Amino acid sequence: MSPGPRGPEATWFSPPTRAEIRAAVQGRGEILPRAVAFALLAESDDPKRETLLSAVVENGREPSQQRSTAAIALGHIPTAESEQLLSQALRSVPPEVVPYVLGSLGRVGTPAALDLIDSETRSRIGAVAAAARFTGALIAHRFGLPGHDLKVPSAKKLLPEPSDDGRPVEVAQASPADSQAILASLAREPYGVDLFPGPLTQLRCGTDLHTICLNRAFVGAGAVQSIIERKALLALVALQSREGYGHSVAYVVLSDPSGGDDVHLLAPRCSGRPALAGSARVIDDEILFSLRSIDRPGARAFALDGTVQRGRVKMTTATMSPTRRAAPAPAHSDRRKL
Amino acid sequence: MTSIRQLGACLGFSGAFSIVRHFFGYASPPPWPDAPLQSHLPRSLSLLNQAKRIQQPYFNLNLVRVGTDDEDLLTPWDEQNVDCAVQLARNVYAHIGVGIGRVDRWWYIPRSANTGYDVIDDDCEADELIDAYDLPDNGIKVFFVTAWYSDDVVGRTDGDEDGSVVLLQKENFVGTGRTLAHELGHMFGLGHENDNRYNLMCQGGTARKAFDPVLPADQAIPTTTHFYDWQGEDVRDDDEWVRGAC
Repeated sequence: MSPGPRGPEATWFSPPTRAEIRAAVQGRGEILPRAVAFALLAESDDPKRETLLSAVVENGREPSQQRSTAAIALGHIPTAESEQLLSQALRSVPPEVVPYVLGSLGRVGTPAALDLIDSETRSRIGAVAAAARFTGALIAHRFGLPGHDLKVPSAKKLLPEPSDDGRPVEVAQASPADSQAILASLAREPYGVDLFPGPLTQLRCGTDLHTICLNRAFVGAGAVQSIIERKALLALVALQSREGYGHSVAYVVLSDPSGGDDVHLLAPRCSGRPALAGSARVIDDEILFSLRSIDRPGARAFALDGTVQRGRVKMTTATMSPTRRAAPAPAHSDRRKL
Repeated sequence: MTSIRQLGACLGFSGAFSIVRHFFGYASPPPWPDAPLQSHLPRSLSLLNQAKRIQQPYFNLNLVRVGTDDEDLLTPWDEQNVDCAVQLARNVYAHIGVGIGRVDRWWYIPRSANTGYDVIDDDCEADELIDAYDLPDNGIKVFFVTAWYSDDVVGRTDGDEDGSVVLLQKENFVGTGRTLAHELGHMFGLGHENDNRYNLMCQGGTARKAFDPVLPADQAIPTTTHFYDWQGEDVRDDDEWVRGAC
């Protein structure tokens, strides 16, 4: 087995063998940190990768943090076996691990998992119920199913467009080579959608570079019209890693018919936490969209308006506020002596 | 000659204060018993050195430990890793005449809060963590986490330079300290310098791999924590975080 190229912050250097990765996953090796081993195993072609990771998720003697991290790794393997093992885990893991299992099911799950996921929406633990709602919505949007709607915030719950103090968001087009690299990165982050290969539009905010990757199913003549008839996972927005190689999914753009030629748009973070919301109108083969930040602690106001036509995203407004909404402080205590 | 009491007052401590817990800002002093066997780990604290360092330009830190237990603590080795990382970063920034002053390391996010931040899934989630909490603006905001699902990332500073997230590397305290110092460099606006393996702003793995044989982890400080003169000037001139001398 030869793992892929390693990023600049990697703390180990010679490619570990399959045996070394397996040993680290099972908590026996000293060469690799365990979270690294989980990630390497998920990316590998080891035929037992799903069962090895599932064994950690299901092991009641493992710390919850290790079980959660192994569950995240399973969500990076888009196979029926992963889905089945995650569904099975949902029945056995403790509540603190459940949100991670649900998060992974959202990525690799199919409608077959929905009943199980729906039962978790009734959990009295807020984090579990919220994760279940997002997971159900993700699957429903990916497969165009009715129900499993996420709450669309009213206009009053959106932050206004940044006014005079707004800073422009730099808009550019990714080069063909960069586009290829971005799509290759996202292939390691399965969301069950085939992404349109370009041209890809990029938004730079500070040192962060985001790339909008459209779902190929809604690109092209006739395909655009379907979003006024069914739910859709319209796009993924990738974030370039600053300290590693590659890109990861930062936002998931979901659309929901709202009547006539209009759709609601929601763009939560990949964790499901709310971020952007707005609307779009379909005119022939073009989508006119408008997104604003949802008002929540820590939010920064964004105004993003533009069009999508034949797979190309064009921005007409792209501004951000220089400041964020206030957020709570974490807890604080120095009463304890170690 | 300035007294420790006067320097403590400069950092905001009034009345009696503890040298280790307040003046240095540590839960416990070195040597840290749960640290791995690595050379270049601090073995003791020098009050004189720290006094000199804050009589230069200095900055403060607000540290948040993510995923604490019912006692509001991480494991002993993780708690020691936090203190060790700060002391290593102090040593790194001392080379450019910049001190780390007040360190408040008692902020925490308990595991029981079910925030989902006790395992960082990816860069996006690290950014969410940075945005989700405000801290007093008297110091740089750094979150210490104990799990990060990645095979190549151990730290992140968000695009707005609002704060940093650093992974506590259980078997590599020197690595944690180097990562903290590197991410703080981003907070001062420094970008990557991957062409110079000796430079702090060369990414850690890239720097170590540029040596033949690969530089052992415990040599990363001080071998890969140098600054260009202009970087030192940029940090000293930073007007957001760096304060005048005490």
